[in-house]
Amino acid sequence: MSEEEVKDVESEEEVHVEDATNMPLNVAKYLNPPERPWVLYSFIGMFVFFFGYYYLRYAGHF
Amino acid sequence: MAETISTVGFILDVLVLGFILYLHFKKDDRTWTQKLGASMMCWFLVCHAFMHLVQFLPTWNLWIFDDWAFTMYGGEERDIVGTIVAESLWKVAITGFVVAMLITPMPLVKNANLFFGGICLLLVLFLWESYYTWGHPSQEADMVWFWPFWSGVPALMLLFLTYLSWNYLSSPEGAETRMESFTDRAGLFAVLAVILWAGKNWFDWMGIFNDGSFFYWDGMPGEGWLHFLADGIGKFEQGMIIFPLMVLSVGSVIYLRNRGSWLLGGIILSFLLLGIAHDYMFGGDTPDYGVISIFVNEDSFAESFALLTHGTMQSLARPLIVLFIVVRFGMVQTQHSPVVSRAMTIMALAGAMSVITEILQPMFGVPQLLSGFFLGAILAFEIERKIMAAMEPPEEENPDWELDGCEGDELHRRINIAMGAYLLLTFILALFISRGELFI
Repeated sequence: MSEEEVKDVESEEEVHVEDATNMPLNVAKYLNPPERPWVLYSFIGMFVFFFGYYYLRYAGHF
Repeated sequence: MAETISTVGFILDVLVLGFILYLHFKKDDRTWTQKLGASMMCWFLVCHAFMHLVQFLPTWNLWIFDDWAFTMYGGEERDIVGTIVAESLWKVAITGFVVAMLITPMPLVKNANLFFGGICLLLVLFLWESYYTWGHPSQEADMVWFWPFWSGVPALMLLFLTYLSWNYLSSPEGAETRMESFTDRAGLFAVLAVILWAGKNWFDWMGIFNDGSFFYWDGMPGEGWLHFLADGIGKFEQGMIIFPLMVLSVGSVIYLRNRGSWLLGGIILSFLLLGIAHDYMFGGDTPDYGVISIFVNEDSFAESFALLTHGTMQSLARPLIVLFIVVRFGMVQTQHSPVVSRAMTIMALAGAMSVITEILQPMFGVPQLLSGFFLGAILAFEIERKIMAAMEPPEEENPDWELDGCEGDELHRRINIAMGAYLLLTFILALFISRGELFI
């Protein structure tokens, strides 16, 4: 087994040990999943669009 | 008919409350987050039952209500004690959902003392707000009438719940990691909570999408920062009722595409469609009875539609959503008493179906016997067993999360005491204010 493979196995074991505990998970990753970083940005985009839409209507742009 | 909905809503509130309390005190292997969640749902039901009580009991002309005069909803007299107590119960219900949101299925704050301190701070601010709106400050000439926390906190809660819902609805099918399995469950709770809190307004607030006066500033220029703040919070609260519908509608389309499940996605989209229908028919100056009178009883359609949407969402759906939440998230375990659980489901089904068919009668001219026939048929087919099976939580990991500072069960006890103490203090405050002692 190469050195990199050994490191991978060790890190997987660490993750497994961390998962097995009852300590709450990392809140930042919990709320903003690293696999889907677009979730937060798209939500902010919808928020800006929502209030922006009303402001443009109020300003009489359409 | 409206007071009948309140009566049925009250019965359902009390039944679900009794059901949760009965199972809540059984000894089992629930985690502290599940037990705390059950307590928070009980606080919500106490508030909701009280709201129904003050809606229909004054119509019964009981002598005790002549003294207490709980007629703040639609009555001629506004009793300060009753109003402050009713407001405080709503604030407790909001706090209950804030707590449940922060612990389901995983606590977002690891430090128990910090968590408890935050909840206490919120309750103190709620208490101060009651004094601000009804006590001495309300007698000042330059008083700005608004509820900074009663309006602001649920709006922020809805914003956060909407984000959790968006995270869930837009995620691919099947939780691939441990993290995603928890965020999915948090998202499901959030979707249900958003529907519970904002859903009733989605039907008749749809016209806000065409409203160009949303940013119109009520306060005059130069009137001070408090007017600015009050207007800002009011607009934020208004926006946070409709914004979740927009996000959930987009999310439900993605959800349908990813998972193909019409149960959740279809329910959310039906809110949107019914809201559009309501706005189309009643949003203008004159309802387009020409279209709808073809197939309905036009005299009572507007009232019936409002009851079918807003009324049922407010009175019936809320206790039923709470029932679903407590069972689905394991906050109570129905295995303790399958008979009681089945009876509860039958009552929930009967309550919902009887009111909906009662409202549909004038709309579609359905004879009462026919609607009763369908209700009986639904129960005879034992649909409640399928509903019970659908509500049961799947096999999933439920860690008894560790906290810094104190045990979860201790945190649970402290939060319950804090909420009870808050209610007692607001009641005392209301008594002082009603006697004029805090006006001076």
